[in-house]
Amino acid sequence: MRVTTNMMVNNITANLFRQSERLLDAQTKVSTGKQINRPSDDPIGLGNILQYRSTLSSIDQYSTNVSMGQSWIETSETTLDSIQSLLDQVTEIAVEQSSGELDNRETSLEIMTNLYDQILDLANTQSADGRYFFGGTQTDIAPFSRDDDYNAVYNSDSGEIRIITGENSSQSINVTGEELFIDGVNVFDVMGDLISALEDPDASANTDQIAALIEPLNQAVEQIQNKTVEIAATYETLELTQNRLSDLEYNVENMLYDEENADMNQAIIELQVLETAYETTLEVASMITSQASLMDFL
Amino acid sequence: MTSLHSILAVGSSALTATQTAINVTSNNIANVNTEGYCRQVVSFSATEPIETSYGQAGTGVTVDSIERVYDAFVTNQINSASQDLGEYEARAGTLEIVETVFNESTGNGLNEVMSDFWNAWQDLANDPSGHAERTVLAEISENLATTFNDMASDLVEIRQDIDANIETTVDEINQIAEQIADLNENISQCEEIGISANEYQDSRDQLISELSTMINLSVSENGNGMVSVHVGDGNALVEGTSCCSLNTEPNAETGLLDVTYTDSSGSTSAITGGISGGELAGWLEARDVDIPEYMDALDELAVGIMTEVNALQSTGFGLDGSTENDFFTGTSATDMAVNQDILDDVNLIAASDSAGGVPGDAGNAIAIADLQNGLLMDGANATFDEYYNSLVSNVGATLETAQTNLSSQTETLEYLENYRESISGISLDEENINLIKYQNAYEAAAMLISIVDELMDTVIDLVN
Repeated sequence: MRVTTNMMVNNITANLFRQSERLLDAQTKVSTGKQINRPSDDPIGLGNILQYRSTLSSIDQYSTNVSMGQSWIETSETTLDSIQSLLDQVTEIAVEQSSGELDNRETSLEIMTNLYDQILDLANTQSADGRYFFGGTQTDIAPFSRDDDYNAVYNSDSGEIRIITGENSSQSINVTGEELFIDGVNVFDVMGDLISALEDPDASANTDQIAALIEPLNQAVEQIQNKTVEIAATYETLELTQNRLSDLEYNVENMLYDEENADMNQAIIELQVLETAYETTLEVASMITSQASLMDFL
Repeated sequence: MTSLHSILAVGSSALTATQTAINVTSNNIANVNTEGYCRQVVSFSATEPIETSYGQAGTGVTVDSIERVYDAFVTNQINSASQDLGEYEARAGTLEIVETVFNESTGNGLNEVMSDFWNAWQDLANDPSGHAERTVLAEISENLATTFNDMASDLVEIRQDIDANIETTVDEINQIAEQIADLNENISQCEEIGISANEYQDSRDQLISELSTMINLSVSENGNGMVSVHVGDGNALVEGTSCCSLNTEPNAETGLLDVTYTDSSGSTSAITGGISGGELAGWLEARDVDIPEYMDALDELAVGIMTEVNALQSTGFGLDGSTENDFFTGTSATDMAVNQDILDDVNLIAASDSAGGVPGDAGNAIAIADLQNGLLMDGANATFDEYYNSLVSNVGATLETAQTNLSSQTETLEYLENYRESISGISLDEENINLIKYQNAYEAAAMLISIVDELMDTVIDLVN
């Protein structure tokens, strides 16, 4: 085959361009540390990467939601614990005043009314951003209010406060004032009755009525306790969810890392191989372009 | 009978012929780097012999012709391959720019913005009465709309840039057509006189080669060494010495350029559909097939999100108890926007399922956040995220294929051009050898003439 100088030159040029293109790709990989720098580098890989990123973002958000739910429950729990111990004190007073220790009736009344208001205040606990814990979904008004005769009224509703814990799943995290203080034993009514009974100036009056209130009071404490256990269980569930999310995050992060990041060792080796190949091509190019022609010998 | 004079004539013919040969060789050497130049070879033939009593006697040598070493087949192959190369180059080049619109590799694209959007609804669900959450949601939603707007307008801009390329190329095509017509004239004049027009033919071939990277064409020979060039779907661009022209005109429907052809009678027609090769074809395909596909997908995604969110938003209740407010306005990715009413008053955002006065109800916000997981795109087969991810993959895959085609076509063309070079290219070694060859012949002829000159002197001396 007839070979002209131009053929050799064209070949060398074309090969140099091919080599340098590959070299540029390898350099980009090493300097960005990423396997995929454009969608066309690996379309399917990029699709996976995008999916992992979305998943991680969701996991992060679910985790935030769960944390918020847990903190809501924590405050609810401590509040309910306080209410419980206050109710224990109320029960003590009832027991005391129904068994004949009658000389401190006035003091007991004072303590009792204080306890009533304390419990009422706790039932109206608000979060830092002004939402009421036990008001159902009417989080902007105080769930309970009382009149001068210690009749309490529930002003809110029975709605659920929910958080999103995963794809298409949500969890309710609240307990309403209704469930706590009204359904079953009406705690405020019982306490109101106790106050009325204690108000009679006759120290020996109403001991029977007071005695009759002890059982409801015990039930009230139990009622509060049951609800406390319920939300504690929810807290546990959320804890498990948080752990599961954490594990999932770890796995997806690893998958994302593998897909996205170049194996630096391999990338650097590849780069060196290509650099050597390129240098070799350059050497050949210089050989060919400077090789002897017939004119040197004529 | 031969005489000294006839020998002199033989020698002289040798000198002339050899001189011509050396001229051709030097021309080859001078043009070693000329683009499209085909090497020329001299063919000698012996001149008519004369009758003598002892048979025929030769009368010398003459240059028969100066041939251009040219292979029509490989030239046609190259033109055909050039059309494909031009097409792939133009399409891949354009898609590379389109790819930047969808470049998610740094992670700051629509994928992240959409995630942020759905997350903001979840934050709202965590505190439906929170002013901060509402404000942030409104801001992020604006960002979502703006991202869609920007991507859509970038794609529109790319289409318009393609039009600029098309216009320039059509001008170039017209210029080349005129030049070809001129060359046709020159060549036919030469052929009429009977001289060869090697340089003109080289130039014409070069022009046709250039033209074939721009548009698909077919070349046919007329008489007198002229050629006709038909472009697109058989439209005669050059016929002999006359040429028609191409033009561009905005399409009434799309506002983008159509390529039109004006024939010799002056009637114009759009030939965009018939362009199937060359850069024009590549650009037209990117502009009229690829990019609209992506624009449509982007629109579908935007409309999907808007429709679903609006449906829930308008049946839900805002913090102020109002209902039937849309969240988004707009009909496509280009004009997607957050309802100005909501931007003015974020309490209109309908987090609640139940009518008025229930600030803790996040039922609607939860439902809207859940839209992220719903199979609401692609005939209930994909989520919003999946739809977008596969759009990006699609763009990448199309470009990857285009680049592979380009790469392999480049190699094919290199091979063909090497082959042509092997036939028509100039080898300096070869020319140098020829030069020596002709030099020797010239010297021998010169020696012959000086010997004949001495012989003549001898004869004259005889007489004295």
